[in-house]
Amino acid sequence: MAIKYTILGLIIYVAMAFYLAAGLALAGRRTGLGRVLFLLGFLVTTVGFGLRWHDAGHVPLQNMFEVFLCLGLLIYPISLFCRRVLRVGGEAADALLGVILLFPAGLVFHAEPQRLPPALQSPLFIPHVTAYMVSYVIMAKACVAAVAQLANRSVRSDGLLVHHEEAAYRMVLFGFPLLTLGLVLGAWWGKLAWGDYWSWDPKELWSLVSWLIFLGYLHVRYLDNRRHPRLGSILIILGLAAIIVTLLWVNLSRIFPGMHSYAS
Amino acid sequence: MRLSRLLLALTLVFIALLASGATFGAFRGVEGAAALFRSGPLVAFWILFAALLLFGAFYFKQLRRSPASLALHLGTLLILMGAMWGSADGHRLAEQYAGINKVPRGQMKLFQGETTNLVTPNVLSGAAAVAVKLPFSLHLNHFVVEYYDPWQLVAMAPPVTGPMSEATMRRETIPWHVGDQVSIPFTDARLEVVKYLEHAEPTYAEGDIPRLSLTTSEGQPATIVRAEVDQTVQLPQVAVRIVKVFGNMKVVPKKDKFETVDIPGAAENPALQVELKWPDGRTELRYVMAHFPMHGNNPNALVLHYLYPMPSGARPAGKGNPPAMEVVLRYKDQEQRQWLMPGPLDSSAWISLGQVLGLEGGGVPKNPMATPPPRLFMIQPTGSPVKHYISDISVMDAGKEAVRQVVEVNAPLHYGGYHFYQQSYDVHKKLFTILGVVSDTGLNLVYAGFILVVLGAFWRCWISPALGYLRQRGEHGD
Repeated sequence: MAIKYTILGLIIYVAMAFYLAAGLALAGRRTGLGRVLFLLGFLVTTVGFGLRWHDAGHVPLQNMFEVFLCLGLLIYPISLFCRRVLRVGGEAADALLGVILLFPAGLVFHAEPQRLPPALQSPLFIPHVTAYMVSYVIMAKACVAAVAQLANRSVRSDGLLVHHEEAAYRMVLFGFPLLTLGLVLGAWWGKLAWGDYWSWDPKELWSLVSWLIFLGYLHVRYLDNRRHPRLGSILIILGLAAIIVTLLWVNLSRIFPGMHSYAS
Repeated sequence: MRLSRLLLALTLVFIALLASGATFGAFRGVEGAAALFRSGPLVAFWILFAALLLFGAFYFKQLRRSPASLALHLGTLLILMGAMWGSADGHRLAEQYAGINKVPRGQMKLFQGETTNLVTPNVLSGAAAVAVKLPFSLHLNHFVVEYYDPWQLVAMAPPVTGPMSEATMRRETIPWHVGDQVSIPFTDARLEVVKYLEHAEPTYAEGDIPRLSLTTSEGQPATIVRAEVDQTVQLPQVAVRIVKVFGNMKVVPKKDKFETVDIPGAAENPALQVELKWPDGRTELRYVMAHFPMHGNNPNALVLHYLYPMPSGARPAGKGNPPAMEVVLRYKDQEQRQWLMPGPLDSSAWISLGQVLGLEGGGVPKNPMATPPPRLFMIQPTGSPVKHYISDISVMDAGKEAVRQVVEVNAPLHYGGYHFYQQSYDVHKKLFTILGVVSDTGLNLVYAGFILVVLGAFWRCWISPALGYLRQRGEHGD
């Protein structure tokens, strides 16, 4: 861990501060102030993302620093969409999630821009990674709702938001096609780049595990939700754990050597 | 328990088993996971899984009534079927029962200018790989590695004192920008880069021809002569005479021996036949081939190289061609325009400042063999990340060029039931490229499955719920 004494580092820390303040304000029922701070955090992160894009000369989605910067960027629009369209709450948790997502970019992963190697110079690079990033944020939100459901927390709202179990279901329903798209685009890209749409790489296998867990959740909910709502929530939490392994452990641990070493 | 609930429960069991297997496989590494999922019990699992998907599609009315769900399930089934059909075992069964003989996957190694139809199949470790012939051939026209950083300009001069060797040569990189005039290190000369073409092809002066380069083991600079019949070079230990010049040398069987002939047409194998003659009367015939520079050469003795003609100019060309740089050299009252452009096999181009501007070697008594004048090099940047590595490939089918394509990572060539991928290359000298060869059996099924799964997922999870919500709002008059 190291503090970044650069303009981009400063931007990330300012964004984290805005997100933290937003989370605290929203948790303290200062909704108006919280939403303004949340928006400001998003705008600052957008500036940082744009700056990185300019420095790197390509869309910044190549390494772990850039991935977490992107995740920190996506939390606000996804939170807004979930609240307005899916009627899902949890804004305070979303803002605090933004702090958590920016933390690795701000303090853990190094920030040197890298040139794209030949394998990453593909039109499928951006859609594949973006689909996954959006789905990861959505599933993280779903996990928060799942935990709240297990903890029997009530929904704090003006009645327009759904309860936690339904919220988690709606978010998994929204995120699952993107997870599927990310998996299929990755397979297609692998076929074009390396000749294999599936090469049993640890990254691919853990991506499949994540997808299967959420697939299992959808089947459980179809089969038995009225009898075992908590089982669904447990599956969502397991699914996020698999996503964290896919995103972090596979890239950083020597236990899983493979072709997806670009992001490490 | 009703059959429907039993089938759904069974589906959950299969999903859980597959997830568990994938988790276990991830810890075993790529080869371990591949071996696990291709093992007997897992093959049985795949077949049962496929049967379950198929049965479910027929049994569950709700599934048949929901096109999205049906697409998801059938898409998964198609992916499984395509993967099984395209696997190594699938190819083996196709060969055994249908007589379809295809290589599941392998590699082709191609030198520039070479044509081959031989594929070395990928086999299990420990097994011997026997090369297989494809019904068509691939010809490597051109191979290039491009780097992110532009080529460098480097001045090189012999040492001021002491013996001259590779280690004692003085080198200095010249920072350059088009339009700027800079000093050439080790000299009083100046240069200006007037043009830089990122991808260029050479133009040659009329009458310019290839050359023969001779280097002895004593580390003396190369002697270079025009490749003309009866051109003779007298070296201290041996005399070398060019006997024959081939535009396209081929070795053909004739009666009970082999003969070298010149085949007209594309210059796939330019070569020279030279005669070496020693003072004691011994003679030896040797072939010097453009695309096989190490053939017959002993680095500890006389080394002969085929050199392409020096380009007199360059014009812009497509991706995959090397760069070219036009410079203006100025010294005292002289001004010379020159092109720096590497030859087809070269990773550098150079100009002798002695030949162009009359400069001499630095400070050492005049001896053309021992004190070469400074040279200006344009070389590939060392340490720069690779931007592309590209093979310009022609497919030769029934003696004619059927397809010509630049193959690079993410842009394979598809022909004759195979995909050819830019897999790797000779990192040290860039003499050959390695193409990965993969059969396309089952691929259309897999791709069709991908499309169905993605469309089914979006329709089932996004569009259907949205339509249901809009219908509800319409019914409630909102």
